[in-house]
Amino acid sequence: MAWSDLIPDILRLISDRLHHCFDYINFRMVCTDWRSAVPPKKFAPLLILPPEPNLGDLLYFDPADGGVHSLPLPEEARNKSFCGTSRGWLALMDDATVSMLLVNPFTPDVVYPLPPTPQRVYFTSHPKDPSRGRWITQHECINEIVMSASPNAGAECVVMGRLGSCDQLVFCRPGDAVWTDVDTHYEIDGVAFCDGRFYALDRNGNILIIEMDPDGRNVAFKETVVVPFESKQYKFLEWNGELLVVGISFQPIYEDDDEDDDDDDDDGDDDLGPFIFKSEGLGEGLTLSEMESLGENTLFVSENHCFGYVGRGVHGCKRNCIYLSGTAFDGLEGVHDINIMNLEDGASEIVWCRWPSQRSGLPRESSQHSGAFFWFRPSFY
Amino acid sequence: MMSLAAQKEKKIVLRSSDGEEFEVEVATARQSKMISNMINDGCVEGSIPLFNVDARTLAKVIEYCRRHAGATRILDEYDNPNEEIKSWDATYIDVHQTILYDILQAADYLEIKDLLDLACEQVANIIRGKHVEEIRNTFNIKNDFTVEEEKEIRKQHPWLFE
Repeated sequence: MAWSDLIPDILRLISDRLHHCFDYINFRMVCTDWRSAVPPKKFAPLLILPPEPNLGDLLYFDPADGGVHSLPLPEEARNKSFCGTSRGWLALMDDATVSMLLVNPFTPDVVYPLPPTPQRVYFTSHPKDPSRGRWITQHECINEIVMSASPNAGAECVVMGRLGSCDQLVFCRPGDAVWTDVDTHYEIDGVAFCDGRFYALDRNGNILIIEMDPDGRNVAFKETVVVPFESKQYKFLEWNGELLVVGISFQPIYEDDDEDDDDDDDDGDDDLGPFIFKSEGLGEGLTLSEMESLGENTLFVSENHCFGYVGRGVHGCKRNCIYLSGTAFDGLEGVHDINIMNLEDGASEIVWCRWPSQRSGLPRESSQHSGAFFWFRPSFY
Repeated sequence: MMSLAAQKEKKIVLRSSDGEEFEVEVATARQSKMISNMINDGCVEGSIPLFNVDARTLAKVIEYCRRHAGATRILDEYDNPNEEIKSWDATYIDVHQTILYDILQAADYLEIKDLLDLACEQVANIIRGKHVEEIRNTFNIKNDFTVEEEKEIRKQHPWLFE
């Protein structure tokens, strides 16, 4: 008579009560009997919340149980700013030294250093005499990263970073001393890695192939297609070996609509709803087709970040819906909204996540949220 | 069917697997769907042998059934369990893991749904927030995955969609 011998029916009654993803996953990892009694589930990515000052934990919201939880961070990763996430790794920056590192909160023993935050040199002209300008050096914070492989894979791993302030790209391999600039006139909105290549999406909806030469030092862009709809901001992600472009709110080309008097929202965003395009074929022959429905899938995106995730049959989440994490730039500390947009009927619903912040209820300070409110997909490898 | 008053007066004898006999009121015994069915079928002459429940567990289970059979109002006006019974349940189920295990088994065998739910919720409460190793230690479970299996499990994690 032992706990491992409980009949499957009882084990399922217990596991059905474990709504938080990690409780359920841990349950299935206890022993072979528990694992075989309880079916696997797919879980939603976690929404990372702003770090609490002086708290070493990673705060996150789990859509599966609607709760806010925390995860201990390794010592090296504490009190740092988020610079992006890819493949279950977090890129973090020390605000004081601008040094950067990659950490996976689930394999805390392995930490990879990244080059320090890149510097850019600017010419600023004298306000009174344009001929008397000077060169200044400024650190450029990376606000998103995409990796071609887990950093555990060694040289295979290229980290592409997007500079928040100027929509430009830099890249490196873990162990490099500096970030390499990608010289381009395109204003890059998002980056995705798909079928062995990096792709970028620019402000104007151009989908670009990022071509790296074999030694991986020189980079060129090749244009493919332009997304046929305009959007204030595109989301760009890889899904099942395809690229996905999502526009959440976009400026209509024809804003004039006489019969639209009852609509208080003049820019008409709410009427048009989101759009999703999926790539057909990759590389030079890439074309796009519009997706009317996500079917059994759920899409997770954030207003602050360009990437996102799609999952099929995600536990505790609604099908054919977009989970849009709201903007970080307004609102109150300790509360955040997620807009669930149903593509089936166009309905939308807000889910609030609340957590005990030291500044709960106060207006959110821009310095406090740097890089937060992004979807994070854990990886144990 | 007997009247409620008659049920209250009539007693039934339950015999545990280790031979101890417990005299209980019919209303208490009827908390168990299994025993309730036996009563309905008229097969409760003499004592009812319960081969899967020992005396210690049976005493504990009867304590639960007696409280729930005796509660005049289990549900509040919104059909939720009332605060009084909820707080009684919480104290009742706050037991050592070995007793909790026996209660689970007995509640399942005797078909006492509310008690089974209560015990399952208690197990879930114990598991919540614990690491795998902590769960194993708490329930004295041996990790029987091979190193290869454990590695494989970590790779096929539940966030790799599709």
